[in-house]
Amino acid sequence: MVSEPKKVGRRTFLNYAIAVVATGVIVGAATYFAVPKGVTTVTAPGATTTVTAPGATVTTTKTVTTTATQTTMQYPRTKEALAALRNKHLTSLKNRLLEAAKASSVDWKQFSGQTINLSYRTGPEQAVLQDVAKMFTDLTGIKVNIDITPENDQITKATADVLQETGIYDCPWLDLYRASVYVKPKKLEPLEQYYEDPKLTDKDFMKWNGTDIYPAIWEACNCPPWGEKGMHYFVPLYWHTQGLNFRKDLFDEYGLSLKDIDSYEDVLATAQKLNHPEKGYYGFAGRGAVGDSMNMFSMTSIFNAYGVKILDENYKPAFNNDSGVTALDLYVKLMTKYAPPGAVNWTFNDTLSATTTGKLAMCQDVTIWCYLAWDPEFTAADSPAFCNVWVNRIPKGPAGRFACMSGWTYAIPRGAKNKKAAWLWAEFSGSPLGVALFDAAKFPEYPRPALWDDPDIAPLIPPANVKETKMITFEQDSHWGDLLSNWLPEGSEVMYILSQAVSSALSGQMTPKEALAWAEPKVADIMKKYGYLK
Amino acid sequence: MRNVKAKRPYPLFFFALTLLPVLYAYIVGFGPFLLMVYYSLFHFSMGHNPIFIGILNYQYLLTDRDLLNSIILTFSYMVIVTTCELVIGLVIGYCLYKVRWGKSVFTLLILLPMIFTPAVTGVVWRILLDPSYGHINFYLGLLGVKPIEWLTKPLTALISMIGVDIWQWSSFVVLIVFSGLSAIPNDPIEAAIVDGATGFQLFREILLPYIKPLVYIVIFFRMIDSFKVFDIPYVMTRGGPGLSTSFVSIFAYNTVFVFRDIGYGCTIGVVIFLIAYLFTTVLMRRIGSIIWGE
Amino acid sequence: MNNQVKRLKSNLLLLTIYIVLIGYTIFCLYPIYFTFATSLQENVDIFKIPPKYIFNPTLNNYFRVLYVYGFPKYITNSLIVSITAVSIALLMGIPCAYALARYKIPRSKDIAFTILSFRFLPTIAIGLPMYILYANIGVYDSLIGLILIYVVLNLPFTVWILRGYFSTIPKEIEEAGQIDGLTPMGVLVKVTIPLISFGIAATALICVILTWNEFLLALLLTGVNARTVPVQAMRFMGEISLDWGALCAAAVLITLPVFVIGIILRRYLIQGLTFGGLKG
Repeated sequence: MVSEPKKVGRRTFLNYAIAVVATGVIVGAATYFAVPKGVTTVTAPGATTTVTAPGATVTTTKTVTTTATQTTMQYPRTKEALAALRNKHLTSLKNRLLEAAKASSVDWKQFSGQTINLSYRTGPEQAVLQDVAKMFTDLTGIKVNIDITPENDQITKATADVLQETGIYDCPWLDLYRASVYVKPKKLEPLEQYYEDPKLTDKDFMKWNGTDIYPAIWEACNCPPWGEKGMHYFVPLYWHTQGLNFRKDLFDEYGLSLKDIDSYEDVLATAQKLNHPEKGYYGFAGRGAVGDSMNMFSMTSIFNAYGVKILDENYKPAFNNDSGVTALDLYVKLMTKYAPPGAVNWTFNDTLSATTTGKLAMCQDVTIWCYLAWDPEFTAADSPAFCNVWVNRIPKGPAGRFACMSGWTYAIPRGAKNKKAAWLWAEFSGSPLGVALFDAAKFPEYPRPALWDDPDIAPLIPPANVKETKMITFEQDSHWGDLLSNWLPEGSEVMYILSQAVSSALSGQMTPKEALAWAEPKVADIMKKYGYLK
Repeated sequence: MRNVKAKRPYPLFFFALTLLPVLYAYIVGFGPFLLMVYYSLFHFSMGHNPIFIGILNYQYLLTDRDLLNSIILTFSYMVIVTTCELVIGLVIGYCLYKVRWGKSVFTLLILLPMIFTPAVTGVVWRILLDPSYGHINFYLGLLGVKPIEWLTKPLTALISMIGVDIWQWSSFVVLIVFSGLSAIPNDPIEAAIVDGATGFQLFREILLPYIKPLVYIVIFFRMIDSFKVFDIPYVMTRGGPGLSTSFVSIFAYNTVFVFRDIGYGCTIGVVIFLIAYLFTTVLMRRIGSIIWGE
Repeated sequence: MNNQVKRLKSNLLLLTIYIVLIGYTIFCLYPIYFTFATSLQENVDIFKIPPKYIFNPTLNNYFRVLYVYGFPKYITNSLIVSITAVSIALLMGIPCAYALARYKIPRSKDIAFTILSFRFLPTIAIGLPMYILYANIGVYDSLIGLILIYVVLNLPFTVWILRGYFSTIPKEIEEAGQIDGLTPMGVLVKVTIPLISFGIAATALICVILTWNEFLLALLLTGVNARTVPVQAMRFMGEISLDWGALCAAAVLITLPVFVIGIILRRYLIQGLTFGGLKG
């Protein structure tokens, strides 16, 4: 069955083995001695890439030397100028952070020698994160291991780690979109216990207890209805809200102003005026693809604006009514009459690239799209949208404005191993200056009101109605309960059903009325399955 | 001493040692399976306490269209992949057998894909299939084909999975066929040539009977191994886009880790195990005797 | 005339066969060549279309992989796990294989096939419950946990392949040992194993390849500390990560040991992987 072992073979085999081992030893020794040691351990590439939002294609850029449209603040229009400006202010912020930390009353070195594990997603802030980690290690003597993984994997692994209390990550970076998943089963430490401890926290340095945080965001950190009263579980880093991104140059050309995008009815009329495929641009687009964070992300704002709640207080489906049909009908009109072909299947990648390549006159999505259109690293200088996209508050409906928000935070899981050391990290990097560092790296999405006027931050905000929009959006238009997935752990399943309904309405397979009627019993089934309904 | 030995044809000590691996394998390998059956009777969401619900999970499973699609997808994949690899393996293996010069060089080079770490295979092929910078689209472009978004469209993603699997495992089949053919004694062949048999007749009358057991070996191993497929689809697409490359293992994994439903995930695991057990037993019974002659 | 035609036809056939073989070999080797070549290129060159076949090689990618991305830790993990798991599997497998080959153990056929069947079970079916179990008893993300379960995957190989080798040893040699006064265990250790040592080494190396390459269980059961090399390869490949040079360098580092072992063992690979199903 098997050939006889060869004695000659053994000798050649030994020769091979010796050769392999010798090569390995020599190569290993060479690389060990040749390269300097002492670099921070970082896992996964901290890419020096220029790609920002996930999946977006990198467009080649050309340096624009003209100063055709000078903005009042002389916002940089070339890669080099923007990078130089950012570096200048980032360096200044880093120095200020370090000084403020040293001047604070915290004994940073009290946990020297411990190690903490962080989990982060790949993104534009990676490089800054690594710098901050290095600063932190120098300051405290705590070793920081950062696990950087793509977004979906990071969510899966961090969630599993928090929920199973396996203690891999001491201070994972968590998405508030899933806050209830962690808070409902009580898997996160309430952070007041660390904040109120004078040995661990200098309150003036960190300012975490809602003094310098927008109320809507502070409420989110408590994650009602699951969080204990008065307890907060998250340290906010940055916060997305929805808004209406629009082409200022086209508005000027057609004599339109912010009043023409004040309500959804106005937007519908404006979209009709601006829908000129022959000139290369369409009136409007939002997300259309099936998926809880896709078309439902856009649609939820509209539902809320028309007073349509997905579930009522008793967890019964509450969307299958006249207002719901009106809302869905409006979106279907916008997406089928005034949007580019194929928009009914668009993900956020598509809305982003359409916005930055100038295909859209208006785009309802996160306000980030506006900043990216001003970023020469992301948008081609010869694109019609370059430095021409402004942003405004989300349009209002009969029931008001609802800019769905979601954010990214630090939290300390119950199963973490070095909680106090993790808290020091959250304090350092989640203090106002720490937060400013992350957000200034790419997106001005500050959860703290005082930062908008900071001398190192104000120059980095594109002069596109950004500051005014974001400040008032945070104050008035964003509410924790808007998005079902925020506060209901099973919310994403419900949203997925609705997303399928919206998609069939968008593609014309069902009318809005039929789509909502189709979704209602399915949502009720889900609520029954999880015990919310009898 | 001799009398003791005559009573038993084996020392008791060795008998115990023989059972040790079996015991270990059962405890460490099969024990978890029993745990999985236990959890499948519960509604167990990650982070929450399990709630006993009896066979409700199984009732749900019978109506789960997505799981059914996943099972059908996996079986189709198994059949397609095994057939393609069998055909390629037979052709190439026969070619290898026929050449006179270079056998050892070719065998050396051909065995490389087979031992290439599957996870790394996924990484490398994902780079090669990149729509903008990947070499595959580049070479296709030379033939006038427009760039294809391999991994982001359902049909092409599935084709990619099949293609990569063929790349990795057809060399396994080639080497099996080649080893098998090389072991054929020369006498019957020479006798047939003397009797005036042509190439094709030679192939059909003489070689085929030797090839049959090889085919069975290939079918046996490739079918069983391709049912378990996980590494390459997971690394390349995580089971997407949508559910187009969610083979059963990936489906179960995603149920536990993305939907956080441990109870239902365990139910799927039990079913996967039973399916695998069933057709392994069937294959074993029909083919096992041919392969191992026992 | 007929002979000439015949020779022409057979030459043509041979040429076709060579072309087919070479074509297939190129198909097999291209991704491997690509990996090696890319790992030696700067990222600027990697993204050039058409691909640059001649370029200035650089070792920067390897330095990045080894010193910035912390790769050696995972290589160490993989080494420890592979070698330990295979050693334990050998320790348990050798006596069992010997007994199955040499003695008439009752139901030996059933025992052998039972052990074999552990290679055929779907890994997810033991991985998932192991994950839940490990998370609860605190063995999650530990090398021990991984080793314990890898032994189960290696046992079928050690038992089956070595059983084949043992059965080729003629009985007379062993009986000579017995006459010299050795116990059965002593015979095994002092006489038989040295004769088989080459086969044991080959089996061990095959098992090392398979354990080194294993992905699903490592993905399920490791977090940050015990992560092995294939899982780390996947993590490298982020959606936004365009550092293909480092990815390929990591790929080379992961697969080079396996290649070396595979090339040394090429004659025994097929026999090993089919559990001795091929005769000869």
